[in-house]
Amino acid sequence: MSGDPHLELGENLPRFLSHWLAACFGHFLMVLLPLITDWAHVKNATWPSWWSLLLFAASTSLVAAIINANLPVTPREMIKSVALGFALNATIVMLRLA
Amino acid sequence: MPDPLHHGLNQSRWPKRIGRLIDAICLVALIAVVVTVIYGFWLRAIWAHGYYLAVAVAVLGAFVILIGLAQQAIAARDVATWRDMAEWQIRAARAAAAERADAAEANADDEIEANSAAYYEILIGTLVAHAEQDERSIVDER
Repeated sequence: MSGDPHLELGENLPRFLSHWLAACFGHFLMVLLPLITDWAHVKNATWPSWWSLLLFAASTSLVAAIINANLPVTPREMIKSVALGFALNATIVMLRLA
Repeated sequence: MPDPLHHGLNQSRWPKRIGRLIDAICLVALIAVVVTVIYGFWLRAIWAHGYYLAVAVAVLGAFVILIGLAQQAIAARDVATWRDMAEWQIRAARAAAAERADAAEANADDEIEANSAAYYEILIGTLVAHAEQDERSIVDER
């Protein structure tokens, strides 16, 4: 019986903020990976201004943060938030292309 | 009151060592993601100078995440230390109380899950009883 409150579910603000940040990083990863893997072709593509990118990531990541706000702040749970942020951005990209 | 254990994540059947290994791998992956994002923003910043601010925001976010992780780990360790001390106290209190009989109360928290609200209520009750008993014995000695 470990009985560790660190491993228990429950929403609170630090958890919400941590998962929100992690989801933002997932969102940025989706935006920036093409730049890293395909540097030569993407460098001249039109990019949104940095602040609109940040605001967009912040707003979509709110959904991920609300869903994951009850998870503890451990690397294992943060990765899930990163994945959700990435997936949300991917969904938006797909829907726009379709 | 619902049993907190059924809402928690601590019913793992995997050995603790595997859990720690997965945590370590996830930490590496998380750091890789953060570094990749900062590097990507940096590449972008070379072409569009406004993006240096995005780099700054990303670095700041990375620091907040890392501090949050460290803070949670420290808090968990402190709680574990506190619980160890409290359990030691309970054992001592129970040994002292066993002489004064009342077996039902002494054994009651064997069946209560550690970390539930009732557990802490009984813990505090036991500690208070122990403290009162100590006080009484000091008065008696005088």
